[in-house]
Amino acid sequence: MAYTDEQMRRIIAEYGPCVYRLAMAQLRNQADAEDTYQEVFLRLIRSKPEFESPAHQKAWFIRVTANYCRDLQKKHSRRELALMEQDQQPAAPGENAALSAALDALPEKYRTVVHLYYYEGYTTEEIAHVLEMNASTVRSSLKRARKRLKDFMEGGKADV
Amino acid sequence: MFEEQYRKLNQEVKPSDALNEETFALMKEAQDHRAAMPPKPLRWKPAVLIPAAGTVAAVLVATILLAFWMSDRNVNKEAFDAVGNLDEIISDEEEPSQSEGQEQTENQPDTEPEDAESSGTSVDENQSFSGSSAPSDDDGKTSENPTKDPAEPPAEPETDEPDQSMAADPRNPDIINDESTTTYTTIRAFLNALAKKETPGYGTNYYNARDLIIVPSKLPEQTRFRHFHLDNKTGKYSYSYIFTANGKEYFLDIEVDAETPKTLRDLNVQKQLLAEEEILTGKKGNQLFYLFGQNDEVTVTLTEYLSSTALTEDEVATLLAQFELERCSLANYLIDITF
Repeated sequence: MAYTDEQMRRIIAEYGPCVYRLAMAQLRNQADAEDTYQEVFLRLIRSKPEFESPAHQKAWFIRVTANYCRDLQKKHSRRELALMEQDQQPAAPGENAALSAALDALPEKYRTVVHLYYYEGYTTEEIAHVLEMNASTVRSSLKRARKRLKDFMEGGKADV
Repeated sequence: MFEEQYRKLNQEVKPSDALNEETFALMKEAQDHRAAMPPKPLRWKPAVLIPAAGTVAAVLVATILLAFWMSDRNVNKEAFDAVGNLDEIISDEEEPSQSEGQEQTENQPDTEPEDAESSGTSVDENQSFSGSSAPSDDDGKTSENPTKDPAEPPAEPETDEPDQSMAADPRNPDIINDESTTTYTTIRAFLNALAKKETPGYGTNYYNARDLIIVPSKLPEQTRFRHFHLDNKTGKYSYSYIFTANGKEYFLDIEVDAETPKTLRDLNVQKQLLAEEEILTGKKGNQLFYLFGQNDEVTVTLTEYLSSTALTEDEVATLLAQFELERCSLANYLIDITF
């Protein structure tokens, strides 16, 4: 199945923000998030998956984005990561700065789960399904992530 | 609440319009590229398994026929023993049946048509790009074809010939791999590898490489594309061409030492700088030197093909004057470079 220009634009408009936010949440780096963004949509063209529903399509985008981000993080050496610090987004002002710093400090493995739970509004079971993980693993990741964020934000400034 | 704060923080995060436009363009290009791609050549597993399965099937049929004939003969023997005409009947039957069986099994190992078919796709491409071939490329190919029978029909050696000269890998005759270098014998193979993101040197940034690649903008007449080498570790690449002039064959090697931008941002920065990019050139003996921008160096070396004879100054000056390099997008340049 070939996509028309209009379909491609619609897909980008519909799923682009979700893909980009997840990539940013996971990678915390604009340049890598942009690479991921393009790669995910190219994979759609290359693999041409068939979707049963919009929810299924969104789950596909989330899974591919999360997997690609994970692969990208594996590839980066320590040196590259150090260099990328320079590329990171400037800290947001005020309360957001503290949260942003806390998210930067959060281990990468927890970021996707946190994002899908708190931003996309998925349940832990849904996250487990989308990311092909065990639901109990998702729950424990979420619990640990919350604790770390809370610890980082100076003993509960934010109600995590 | 953490949730509200997190949502607020992320609501501001959106892809830029420029990124969306660029992504749309890439998707469109990828889709067009896929639509234009030739059917995939037979990979090594089917290439081996299909003839093997055919062979096994044919042997089974031959065995069944033989068993059937044997059992038939036993029945006949019993039947004719009774009348005393057995010897005559068997001697009439046996000879044609055996020879028929032999014929059948001789024809069984019919692996070559498949091989010829898979190499056939490369023949067209290689013929159009490579022309003559270096003897050093002959290694190994024949040893990978142990079933090749000298008494085979003449059509098959003809189709195998370019493969022997170009490819060590029967799985994809357009690509030669060793530990550190991948050699693409056609630009098409290289582009396909880029499109499939299988080019190790560029990793995920293959589009970055395509957008900034340094290729010849002008070549001597009757130049034939020879090889595209890619260093898997460094991403450095080199081209080679062969061309004929003054009744002699020349070899033109273009070695590019350029750094591929790692991120889209770096790529965009470099692309913006392209308009103002300064290209310095120098010449020494049979070599041309280019410096694109501040870091990307290119060395062009002209030699006589398969000869160690030194070229004269006039020869070098005349031939290299017919050569120029530029930096451009390979996707747009495909038609020009693959003549």
